[in-house]
Amino acid sequence: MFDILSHLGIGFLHCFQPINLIFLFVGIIVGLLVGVLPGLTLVMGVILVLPFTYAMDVTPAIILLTAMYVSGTYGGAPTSILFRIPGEPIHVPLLWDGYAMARQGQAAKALGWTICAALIGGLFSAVIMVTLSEPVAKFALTFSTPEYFAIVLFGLTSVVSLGGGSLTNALISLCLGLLIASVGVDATYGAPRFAFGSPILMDGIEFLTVMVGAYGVGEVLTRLGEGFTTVPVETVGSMKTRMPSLKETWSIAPTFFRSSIIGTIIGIVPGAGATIASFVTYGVEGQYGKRKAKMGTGIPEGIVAPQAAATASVGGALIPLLALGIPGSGATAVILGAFLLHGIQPGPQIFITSTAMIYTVFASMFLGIILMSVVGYIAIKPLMKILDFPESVVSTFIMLLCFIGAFSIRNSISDLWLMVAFGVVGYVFEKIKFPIAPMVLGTILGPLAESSFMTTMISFQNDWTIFFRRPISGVVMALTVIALVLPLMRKFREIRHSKQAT
Amino acid sequence: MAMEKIKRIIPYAVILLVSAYFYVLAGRFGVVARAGNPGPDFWPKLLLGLTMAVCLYEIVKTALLHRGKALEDDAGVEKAEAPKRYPGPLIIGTLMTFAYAYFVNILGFILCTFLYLALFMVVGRYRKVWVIAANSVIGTVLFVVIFMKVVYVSLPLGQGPFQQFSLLVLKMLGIK
Repeated sequence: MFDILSHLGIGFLHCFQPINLIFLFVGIIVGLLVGVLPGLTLVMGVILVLPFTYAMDVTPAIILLTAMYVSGTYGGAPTSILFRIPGEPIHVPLLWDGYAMARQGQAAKALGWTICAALIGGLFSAVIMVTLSEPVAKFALTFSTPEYFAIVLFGLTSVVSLGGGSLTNALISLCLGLLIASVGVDATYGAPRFAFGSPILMDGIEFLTVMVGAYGVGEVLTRLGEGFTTVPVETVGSMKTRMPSLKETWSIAPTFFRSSIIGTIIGIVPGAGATIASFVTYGVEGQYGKRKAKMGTGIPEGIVAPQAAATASVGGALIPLLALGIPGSGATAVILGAFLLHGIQPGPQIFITSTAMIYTVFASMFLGIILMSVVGYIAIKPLMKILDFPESVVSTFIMLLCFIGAFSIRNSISDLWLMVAFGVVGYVFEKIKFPIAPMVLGTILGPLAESSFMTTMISFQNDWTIFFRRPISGVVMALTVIALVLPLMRKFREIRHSKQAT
Repeated sequence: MAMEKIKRIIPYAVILLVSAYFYVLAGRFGVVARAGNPGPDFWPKLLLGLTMAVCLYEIVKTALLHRGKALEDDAGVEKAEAPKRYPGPLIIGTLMTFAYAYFVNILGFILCTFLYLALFMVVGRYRKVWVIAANSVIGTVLFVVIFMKVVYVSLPLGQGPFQQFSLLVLKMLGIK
């Protein structure tokens, strides 16, 4: 523990270097702006900033992206509360109590509760992240390929089962992602697969190309098909924030605590990000909270629960990324991409090889959360000004950033073609209600899933029971089965209930 | 109702056919595994098999089990909630995006980007000409300076006279 604290202290010193502070500040501002704009999602924002990090050192690059990730979980809150426009899906639960509170003439108070929740939830999860990451990484050093395969499989299963929509569509999307990852020269045998003689396909398809296309271009095309018709924003005369008193905050301490814990845990689970965290905690508050009957009428608990959980999920999501090298969400996948582009492989070894850098990033999380709260408190009015920009202009620049982002991964026009093609796939998926997240996560985790599976099969003479017989992989495989069975049981229960009702 | 069913089945049928084609391709990888070990085709075939099974399940479920009433109700809900569509701009915007990928090597990043920015804003139903012109010029210059001078991304210069034009602009911006 003392080691961790001393590393963190050094991390804070590094973090106060001007270059790191500048990028931390830029990340916070850009993240807030991305959150405010309804057409731009948090993951998309992080993807679009990625090309700017190519010429940067790895530490400021990761600080920039994580700062964006943190502040993106708050940026959409003011628009939800003031204008009833959720900048991000994360902030939909804020419409229920946040907007209701604003309509009762307490908009400033509602905004104050949001900042307070983001601050406490974020700092709580940052503490958990610092405390858990290194021990988890040390534990992961004992892992072999069966354990890695089991963990990746669990992650992929979670993405399918936690998606909320059709299980079969999510499964197809996931298989497609895993297949995209199998394009190119196979790592075990050196056999070219689905390359059709193309040199760029021989090298495989970069997951960033898929991400930029499916999330960036796909989303812009969807909005274009809807005519870029954003709901006009009403003019709000006063956009002040009034922080709750200590006594008021203490009175709903259990809500803060409960939501922060749930948010962090949901962040750790691959595939379940800030959006699921905010909905789940709102539901938990509605079922078990002290004032559950008043939820939805404009009470602080209805604001604190989703916001604290959303920001807390960030610290949780960074644990598997840094300790195991396994990203569990879109934003952490982009951060993984930034690490890889700078020649660093996150995973258990990173705490030995890049200790200073990791703890500087940890320290930047603490500073970033505090800075985000300060900026959110002071600069709410200028931030809202971005809503005045016409959506078609903003979207055109998003497209351009997508082009540059895809091109600069390998300096190849072929990647540009692939990115545009995946953009169309993203659009079609949106139309036929296939989720994009499983495809993207399949593309990212595909190589690790296949190589750990193949190596296990070759090492253990094709004995697939090995995954169930080893203690750690056995437990994870059991969790995987539970993750698959639970949504099926829920579905059957729903069908039974609806049959009984009719 | 039959049309509704067919509409639902089409995506799964297409994915099923494409998966079947790739399954056949996977059988021709050319590298054979050692006896008793899974080969390079094992993983893709596993995924393609799973995809085909899931598609088949969805097709059968939709064709045989769905009750007509539910399908009709769903369609009604979709109709009531569907936002206004703009297929024209969508098709033109998509074609323009493919055209950008095709022409950027010929026209160069500078000219191609300027044209794309201006035209995409118009396609996006934005009509303030001066704002479009200013955004296109400033946007192009800003991106060229950031990515060619600061981030050092080697963006395409184009061919023939377009290359000369790109070099001239770069010289004016002080980029070597």
